[in-house]
Amino acid sequence: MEPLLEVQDIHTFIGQFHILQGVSLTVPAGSITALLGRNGAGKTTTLKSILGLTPPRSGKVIFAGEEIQERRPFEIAAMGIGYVPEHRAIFTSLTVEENLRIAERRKGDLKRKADFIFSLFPDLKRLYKLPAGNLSGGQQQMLAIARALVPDNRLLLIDEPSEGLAPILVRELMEAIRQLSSEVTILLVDQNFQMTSSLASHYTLIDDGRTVRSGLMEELLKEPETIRRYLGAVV
Amino acid sequence: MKTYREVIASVLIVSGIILGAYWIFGPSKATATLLSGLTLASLYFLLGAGLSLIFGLMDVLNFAHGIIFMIGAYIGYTFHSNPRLILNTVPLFLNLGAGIAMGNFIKKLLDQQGMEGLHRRFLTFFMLLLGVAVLLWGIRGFPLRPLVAFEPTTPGGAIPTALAQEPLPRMTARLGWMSLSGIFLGLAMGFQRREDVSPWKLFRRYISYAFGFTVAAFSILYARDILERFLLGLSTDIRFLLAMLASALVGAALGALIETTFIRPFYGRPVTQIVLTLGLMFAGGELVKAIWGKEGRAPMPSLSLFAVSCRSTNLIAWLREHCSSIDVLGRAFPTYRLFIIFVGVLILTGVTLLLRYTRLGMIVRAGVQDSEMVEALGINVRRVFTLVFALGSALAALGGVVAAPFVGVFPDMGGLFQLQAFIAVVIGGMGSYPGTAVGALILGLARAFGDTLVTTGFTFPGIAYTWRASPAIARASIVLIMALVLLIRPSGIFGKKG
Repeated sequence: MEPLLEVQDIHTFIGQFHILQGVSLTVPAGSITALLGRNGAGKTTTLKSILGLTPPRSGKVIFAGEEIQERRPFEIAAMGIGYVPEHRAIFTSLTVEENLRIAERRKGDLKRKADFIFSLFPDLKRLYKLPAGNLSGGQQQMLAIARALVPDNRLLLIDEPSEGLAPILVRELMEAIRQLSSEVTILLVDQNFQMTSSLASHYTLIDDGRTVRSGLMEELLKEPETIRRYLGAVV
Repeated sequence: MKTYREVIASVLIVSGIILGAYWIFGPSKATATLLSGLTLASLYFLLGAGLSLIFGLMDVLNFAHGIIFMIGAYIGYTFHSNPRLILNTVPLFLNLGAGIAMGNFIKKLLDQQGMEGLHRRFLTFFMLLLGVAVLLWGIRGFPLRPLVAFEPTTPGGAIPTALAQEPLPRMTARLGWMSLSGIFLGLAMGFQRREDVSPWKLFRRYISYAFGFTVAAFSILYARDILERFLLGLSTDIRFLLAMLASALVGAALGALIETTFIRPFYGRPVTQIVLTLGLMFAGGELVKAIWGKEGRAPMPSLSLFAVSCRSTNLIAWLREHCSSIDVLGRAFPTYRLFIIFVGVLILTGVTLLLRYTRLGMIVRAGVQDSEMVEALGINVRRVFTLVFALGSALAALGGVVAAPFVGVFPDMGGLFQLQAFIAVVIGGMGSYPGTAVGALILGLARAFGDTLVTTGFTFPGIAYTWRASPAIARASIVLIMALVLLIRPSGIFGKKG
């Protein structure tokens, strides 16, 4: 299958720190790919490097057949990449509606997608006119994902969606992401290995800013030793 | 709710000052004081709005803002009383801009041919040098002094003396030099990525600018006498409104220029940006002195609505009589100051509507919180930055013209008003737009209150002693208020915590 996104050996510096020292990954179209690794392994920086927020100093990022590593973030995003950052960076001083409307790339985006978004996250309909700062943590997370769904994105980069959510909300969130994956390709980062392993079909494992291995999730699940070593998780 | 606390605090402070004024000065003097306060608040707001928006969105402390205010005042004044200076200089700038567009075009083409890497840095430096040299050569001997040194015209009258205006062929040659210099400067503009756009698209994008600017420059130059006669023939009112428009446009252009050349390459390096804007502040001040001289000018003539020297008894009578002052509970109050208040309220409303109901406003409000995320949504935040910088500068320049009939123009006005605007912004909370409005209001009222206290003093009830504040105390009281507010709320009334 033709990969939708391909990252080839990128190196990213933040200030003088060499954070990514050779990350490679592929995201096949139509799948959920999990980006795994310990805290501080460089998962968030990898997502930001794909989007150009922390542009890589070397290496290539190829999205839908085009090299994008030298483009500006807004150009990359406008090619069809939605970003759901960690700590759910929604705009708290804007209303829920404005948070969605600002993500429009063409007039009418929101109108076209509203039904789909409300079917995934019914709460948002009720809270539509409220300032987003009044929302609970779970609702803010839903909003952050919904915002990435407003324009026609082909790829979603989702960073730590389950962070700080109650278990029942995590289950709801998983269900939403599973439903989404039939519409859009997803690159998912999450500390909750239970969640990522049940959602993702592919994985890339990074450690200390380097890709350690990647492949099919079902094969990784057969290697509890690797999982314990790199993630500290027990299956 | 948090917002309510902020609103209540603002209402308490403002009404405290108002009640204090009524208690100390009595109704008629207090009302006059309040109106003076609103006048000042209006000017502080026009200057502070841009400061606050620019800081909120871009985290840039723009010390060059006061300079824009001052240049706005000077440009407006000059446009109003001596359009000849403007008509002779604007074509030069236009052709420089046309040249820069051309240079940019050539540069992009070269970049597409792979002109990158080694010799690029050398070339950039060399082109910059060449551009500046040609620019200086082009403007050598430009008769700036005679064009500026004029007796202020009487409203509606012609320019009195035969001011040296260069003959057209000579000016045409200058325009040529400007274009050439612009091309070199445009070539020198580095830091741009190569773009994979078809040459034809580039051509359309840049050449349309170059062509438009050149045509505009030559039309203005060759029609300069007709335009001058036309402008001087207009009523002073229309000229005043045109002066407001002209200086707002110049302010916007200057703001965009400052953002793209001095601020943009240094995002993420706030100290560099602050030092650069400080440098611009000093350089701009000297530039104004070099062009218009060290001495200030008497207040600029304003609209005919405020021209007749008499005192109207009320607003309706004033609309009929156009008196320069109006009766406020037995006291004369200059009507032009009501106009300043009017403009302030108009801009406050306009910008509020812009922020609340337009897509640009939505992007600005979101960007104040997290501009990186806005960019990640596919929005060109840099362009929004430039726009907001231009908009803020336009407001500052507009504030300058509006202030000119009130305080006159003088080379220190930029720094003076900027300091006040900064204090207003700090009191209101850096980066908060409603905060700026409230901060300006508090500061303006306090300032007027202090001034009245200086002139009339405060007679303690019961004992026959009148305490007269010294002007120094009146000035210091503002800093005192700022200190008080910051002690209670370190980030200002509407500021974000932390």
